[in-house]
Amino acid sequence: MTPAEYIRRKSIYPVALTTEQVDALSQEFREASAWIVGQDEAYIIAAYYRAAAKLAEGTLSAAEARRLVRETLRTAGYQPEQPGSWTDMAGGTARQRLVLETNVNKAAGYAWYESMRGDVGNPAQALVRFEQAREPRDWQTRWRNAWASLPPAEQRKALPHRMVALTDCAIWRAISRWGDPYPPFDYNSGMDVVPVDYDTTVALGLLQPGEKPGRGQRAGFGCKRELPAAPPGVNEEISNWITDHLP
Amino acid sequence: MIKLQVHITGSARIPTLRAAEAQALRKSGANRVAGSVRRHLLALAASTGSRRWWGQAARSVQVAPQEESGSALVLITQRGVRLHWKGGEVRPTGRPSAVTGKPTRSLLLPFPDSPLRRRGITLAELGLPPESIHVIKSKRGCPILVAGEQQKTHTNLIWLGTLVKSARFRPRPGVLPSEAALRAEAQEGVRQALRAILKQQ
Repeated sequence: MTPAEYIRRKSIYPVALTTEQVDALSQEFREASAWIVGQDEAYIIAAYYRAAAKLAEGTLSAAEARRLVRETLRTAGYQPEQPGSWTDMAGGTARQRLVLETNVNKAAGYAWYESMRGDVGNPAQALVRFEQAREPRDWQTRWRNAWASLPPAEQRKALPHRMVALTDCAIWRAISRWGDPYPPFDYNSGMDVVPVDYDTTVALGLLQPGEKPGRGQRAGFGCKRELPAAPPGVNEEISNWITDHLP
Repeated sequence: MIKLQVHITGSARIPTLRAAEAQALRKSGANRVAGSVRRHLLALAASTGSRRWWGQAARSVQVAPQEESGSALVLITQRGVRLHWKGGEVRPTGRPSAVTGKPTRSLLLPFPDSPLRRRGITLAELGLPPESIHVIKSKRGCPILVAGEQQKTHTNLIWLGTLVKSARFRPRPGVLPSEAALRAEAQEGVRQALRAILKQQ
């Protein structure tokens, strides 16, 4: 599944969730549903996810995706309560960027994990910085704390002082804000993964020669389950409305 | 979008290899290529001082599901990577400007210290009233876009960027690893998987 397909297969969940509620959602629910923190208007959520899919497949740049969202919402008659504020879904560039980038990065992280899962030639991965943050988080400490919290069998699959672990190690879920085994592991984290090959993995002591790496969990993936809380037909209604009314 | 086709051939020459193992070799070869492209783009980010753009390009590297037996696609979906790699000319789209509503006739190249470049946003997203945005001439006669009150002294102006009719990008083959390097990575990926499979037997 490509990142764009991952986004397009989601069902709209028009309920204004708080950040804490999102953090408490199951992985399966988050993967299968399209939601925006604090947002209960289905057409706004649809506009964002539509732009995110185009951004993920490379048909739009980030600036063009934000413009598409603005134009879609204005065509729909959207009026922000406080123009230019964080709650302004059409004019707040930082909010737009956060929603679009988090969703595109999640989709990319999922697709990357799926292609790497069970790869015998690249059984491990390293957590590295992809983007420079103004105030970078201390990922080394987060990694060490996560490693310390693991059961012994999982600790053997990860290094405590270098951010390298087998792809199926539980440490990836432990460092994630949401408990996902794939990046991004937090909002605006700037961190992602690169593969580590078999020889290096053995040399680091994460695998014994002849030992078979695990395949990683697939539970929760697939975006196929029905969402009990999602109003029936919302996706179809929104999709038809967008096709009829928007650019 | 850039598509790199990875063909892994020759596994049929190993008669004892099961179909699943041959598939594992192909997967490892393609993933190794994708990983090397990610690392290459991250090195490019470090060497150019890029804070976000090349890192996002690295994140956009994906391995497409292998539909055709024996091959895989490594995709780089970030818009603009191909332009940097192969070079080319960029011209205004002619679409209505989000600021003036008139057809776009020029490209805006932000100055290094422009708020547009610092914040990574467009002119429309800067939120300045359209009446405060003006075009002035530089000493060499180039059109410069500024914001603020028009004064002879040009003080208290926000310097946004220079306006050009088109921009030409020179090809930069070093944006991606060479074909030979990618081929070597694919081969090494296959070798790594083969070693792992043989050790497990």
